[in-house]
This record gives sequence, structure tokens and C-alpha cells, in this order.
Amino acid sequence: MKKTLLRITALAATLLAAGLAQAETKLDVLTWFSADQAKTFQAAITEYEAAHPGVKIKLNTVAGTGAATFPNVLRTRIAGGQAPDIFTMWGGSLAGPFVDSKAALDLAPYYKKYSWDAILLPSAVNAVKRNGTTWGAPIDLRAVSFFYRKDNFKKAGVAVPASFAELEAACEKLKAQQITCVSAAGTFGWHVMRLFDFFLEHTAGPEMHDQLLTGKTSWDRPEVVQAFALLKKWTANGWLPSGYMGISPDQAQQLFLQGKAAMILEGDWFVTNSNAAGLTPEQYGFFVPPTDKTPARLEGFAEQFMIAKQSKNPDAAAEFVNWWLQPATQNKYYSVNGSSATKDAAPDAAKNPQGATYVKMIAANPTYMIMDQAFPPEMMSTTYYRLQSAVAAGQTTPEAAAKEMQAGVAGIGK
Amino acid sequence: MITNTRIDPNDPGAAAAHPPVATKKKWRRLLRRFTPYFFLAPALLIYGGFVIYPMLDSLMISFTNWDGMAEERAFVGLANYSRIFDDPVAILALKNNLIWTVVMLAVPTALGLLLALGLNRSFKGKNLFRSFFYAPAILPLVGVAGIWAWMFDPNVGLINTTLNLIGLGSFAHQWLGDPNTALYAVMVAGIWQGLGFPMVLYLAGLQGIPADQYEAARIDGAKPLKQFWHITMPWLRETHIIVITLGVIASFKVFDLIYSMTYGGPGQATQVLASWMYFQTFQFFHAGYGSALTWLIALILMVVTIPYIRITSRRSGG
Repeated sequence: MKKTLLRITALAATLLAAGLAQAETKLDVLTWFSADQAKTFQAAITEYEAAHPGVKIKLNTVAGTGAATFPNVLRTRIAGGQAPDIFTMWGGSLAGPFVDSKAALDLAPYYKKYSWDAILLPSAVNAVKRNGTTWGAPIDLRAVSFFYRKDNFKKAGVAVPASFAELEAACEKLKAQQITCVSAAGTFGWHVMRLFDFFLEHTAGPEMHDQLLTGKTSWDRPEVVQAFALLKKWTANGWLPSGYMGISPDQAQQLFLQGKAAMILEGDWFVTNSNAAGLTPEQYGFFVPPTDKTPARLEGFAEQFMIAKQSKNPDAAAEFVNWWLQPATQNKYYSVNGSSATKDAAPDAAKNPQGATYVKMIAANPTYMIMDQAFPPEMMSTTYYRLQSAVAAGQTTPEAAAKEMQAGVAGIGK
Repeated sequence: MITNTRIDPNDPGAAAAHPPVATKKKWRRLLRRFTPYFFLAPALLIYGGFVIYPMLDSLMISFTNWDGMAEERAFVGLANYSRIFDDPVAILALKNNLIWTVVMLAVPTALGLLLALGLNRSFKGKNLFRSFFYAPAILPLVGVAGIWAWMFDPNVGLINTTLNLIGLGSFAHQWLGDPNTALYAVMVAGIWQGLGFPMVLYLAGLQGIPADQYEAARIDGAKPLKQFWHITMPWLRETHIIVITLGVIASFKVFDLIYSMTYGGPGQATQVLASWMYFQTFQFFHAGYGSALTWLIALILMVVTIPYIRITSRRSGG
């Protein structure tokens, strides 16, 4: 009798729990956050869950994998019918496959419902648009600048360059002191691409650069030839690390952090890296790349939250995204991304003075799209990265590279 | 199972209760015939579900334009296969695979045999040396790639630093950054890691050679080199086949070292078929074309593997 009673009680409890579970809205979030980022983001999730009883959010992270692996994990989950409700994604062409395969939800109704255009930076919203549609909500706006070692600059007797000519003169003085001028890495291609993007902004200027990135003008032109010629010149002059085409971005960063290189093109995240490596604000700083053009622009890219089309709770997912985008949330949890796409969001200047200065620099300068978000990965790999390597190795001429770039851009989608 | 029950042929009830001996025997024969298959069934089911089915699915995908994610996929016939021959990177990758195969067959096989010959002798610390030379083989390839990528670092790497220290700075080079040396630099890591396996196989082969063969040769006045060519090499014939076949298979499957050390670069200089398949499938979202590349690798390997299986089956009496 006692056993029967116990069984009935257990069954009732199970049914009750099942009923409660059914009433619960479960959200699955997939991000590329590192352990530290995930810890802070989990604290935000806990706060959200406390304010929204009935919502349970499971956080999954694929940390430290970058653009090489994260999309694979996401793609496998989507193909297996187990898409997360919300996932992080880069902007531009990197998000393209997920949009084109109809894996992401068009967020236009939520932009309207929550008035996201009023709280988000227009440049960030534009950066995540594809074919004029907002498939995601931007969570940050990254921008690349020159980080520099103050100790190396002092040793070589150079000041922060205000023009391209001053930058090249500084490289020559740094080389005389046996210090690598700019650290760069060719493995994966995208690290050296930042330098080429800067050269192209210098040679072509903002308007033409934008036209090149959108395929509205031919790449087979003198400005592109000049940009490739600069890559060749900087390689030949020894202003880039020896054998830089065969080293990884981690190795390039180490050259800077160890003081063997004076400059490196990195984004706001590198403030955290530099601080973690023990560098103090007295040892390093950053400046807007001197393009000699007006406006002086930074190379930028946005990252976003997308909602999967497979999501069973898209409204609840959008509600969470809306909460995350609010200025109050962004300011409180700024360290998760170290950047924000929300207006009026900034790091605490007292706790992170370098980070706050960086945000001011981004706010003061417009951005142009980074090349690997402008063009599909296949074109970047088979055309641009191949040409960048061939020019650096002297296997092709800048003129031939410009011609081949045009052929590559013209061949996109064919 | 044997039964002693006797059946009276004049008792119809007994005949119904006890089936005729001939039927029983037939069942027993059938049972005996199918028993191995019953035991094999669980493994076959697992193999079918996790190997055969994915293989057939990948074959089907290779005839479509599937991106690996979308619900729709269109049949494109042999278009993905014909594309391979128009794709300069795929042709370069095949060429790199062939270079890799030739080098990886020549160097680790020859060095493995030499080491095996040395380590087959009796001397103090023999087992320690065997473990020492085999140790890299048990390391994960990604770890090996990490070690060698740092060694080849042109600025702070051990190789260039050592060359500079001993006055051979002029030989310091951007090993992984130069399209002309990158593939060979990765091969060095491959040789270092892959040396232990042929060594172990040759050691096993050498231990199977009867000692009296050498004894008789010595009595007949054969010198060590003659003994090597006329006794050791013929006795190692099957080991050579195994080492070479497994070497070819490993060479066409090479991926980890390339991916981790050069990512197929500089440019596309070190792409091999497996890495190009990975890029096409997972980076460029061309699952159809990636599957066609996979099947090209599979076809090449089948040409090598089928004779290997026949030889090993013959040896084991299968």
C-alpha cells in the first residue's frame, strides 16, 4: 500500500513537472564567446531569466574558433534540425550562406515592433544588412586601427604618423633599430588583408574604395595596382615581419606584445589582449591609419545576433535580443563584447580607460567595410588571398594582380 | 544440440509432437549456417548505419548542388565531377598529394627500415630507443603541427635561430611563407611524426625472419650487404607492401598538418585534396562539390586498397 502511494506520488510529481516544463519557454543561444565573455553573458542571462519567469535560456559557446570553425558548428546544427534560437554571426558575405539557405529569420517586423533603428548605430545596422534586408540585429561595431608600442617609437625617435609619408619614414627609422615596423600574418589571409585594405583606402580614397567593394567599378585600375605595389614595396623593404606570409595572427600578435614589432593593425579587442599581456597605457596606444584622405576612415565590421528560422519561439528570442540591445543592458554588460552597436553605450572609463578612448575614436571616424565581409569566402580564398601571397612572393606583378582581382570579382555568383 | 529422443513411426501423435529427424537436421544445418551472421548482425548494423549509409548519402550529395544546410537540393548529374578538372586548385591539390605520396613513401619508409635494422640488434637500452623513435607517432597531429609551426617561425623559431647562432644565417628562410618551400616544410613535420609506424612494422617483419637463414649465409661467406639484399629484403616483401599501401592511404588522407600549419597557403600553394574538400564543403558551402572531391579521394584509395586487402587476406588465410 505504502509502495503504491509512493508510486502515485512520483507519477503525479512527474506529470506536474512535465506540465511546468511545457509552460516554460526554452531558448537556445549559440555564441563564439570566450570563457570570460560567456561568464559575463551568463550573468546577463540569469538576470533576464529572473525578470522573465517562464523563460529558460541555454547558452552554448564555440569559443576561440573564429570564422574557421564556428560556421561549421552552426551549419551542422541547422542541417540536423537542431538550430539554436539565437546565434552570433558576422556581417556581410560571411552571413550570406545562412541567409541564402533561408536559415535566418527576417527581423524587419521586430525592428518595427521594438524601434531598434532608434537605439542602434545606423552604420552597424547597415553593416549587417544583406540585399537591403535586416536578417540580424547588430551587437557590436568593430573597427581596426594601428596599435603602436610607445617604447619602440621612442627608441627609433618617431612620433605618431599624421600622413602616409610619415608612416613610411617611421618604418625606415624603426628598421634601422632592427624593429619590425608593422606586424602582420599571412596564414588565413585576413590579417595581411587589413593592411592591403588600408593601402587601398590610401590609394583609391573613400568613394572609389566603396565602389570597388560593391563591384560598381573595375578593379583593373591604377589605384588597385598602386595598392598591390605598396604591399610589394613594404615586403621588399623589410617593414613587415620576415616570412610574414607563413605565420599565424597569434604569432604576429606575439611579435607586437613582445616588443619585436612597433605596430599592428588590430581592433578594439586588442586592448584586452594588450592589457592581459601586461602592457600599460604608458607602453602602447593606437591611432587612426593615416590614409591622407578625408574623411579619415577606419576599417570596420559588425557582428550580429540572428534568429533561426527553425526557432519554435522567435518572439521570445526577439524579446531577449531587444533586452540585450537596450543601452542600460549594454552599459552594464559592455565587457561581453568590448564594443556595442547601441547608441550611448560605452565602457566604464574609470575601469577601462583605453577601451573608452577606443570607443571615442570609433565614434569620431566613419568606417568602411572590411574586404572579407564584402566578398564571398570562396572568391577571397581563390582570388584575393592567392594574389596577395603571389605579389608578396614576387610571383606576380601588381598589374597582373589587379587584372585577376577584376576577373575574380566579375566571376562572383557565376 | 543433440537429442536422444526416439520417435515411433507408427504413432501419429508422437510424430506431431516430435518433428522428423530429417527436418530437425535441416533446421540445425540452417541454424549452423546462419549463426555467424547472427553474431555479425549487431556490428553490421552499426557499420551500415555509421559507415555505409553516410558513404552512400555522400555519393548522392555529390550529384547535387546542396550547400550543406538548405532544405532544397537540385540534381546536377556529373557536373561536380567534371568541375574538378576545370578547377586549378583541385588540380594543384592532386599534384601536391602525389608529391606528398612520393616523398612520404621514400623518406619515412627508408628511414623506418634503417632504424628497424639498427634497433633489431641486441644492445643495452634497445627498448628505450624504440620508444623514443616511436613517440612522435602517438602525438595528436594538431599538436605536431603546433610544435613545427613554431619551429619554422622565421623570426623566433628554433630552426632559423639555430642557423643564425651557428653562423649559417644565410640559410635562414621563411619556410612556411615561401610557396616554393611551404609544402616541403610541412612534410618535415609529417616525416618526423610518421617515422615510427613503418619502423614498428619493419621491426615486426624482421623478427619473423628465421635466424638460421643468416647463419647459413654466413657459413657460405655472404657479407652483411649481400645478406640484406638476398635474405632480409625478400623476407620483408609483404611488410613492404603493407608499409607502402598504408603510406599511400595516409598520403591521400593528409589534412591535419596542412590545415594547422599553412591553412592551404601561402595562397593555395599547399592545398591537398582533403583540405580543398574541407574548404569547399565547410568554408564555401559547396557540399555537392566537396562530396565529389571526397569520392575522387576514395576512388584513388580504392585502387590501392583493394590489392592490399587481397594480399593481407591471402596472408591470413581468408
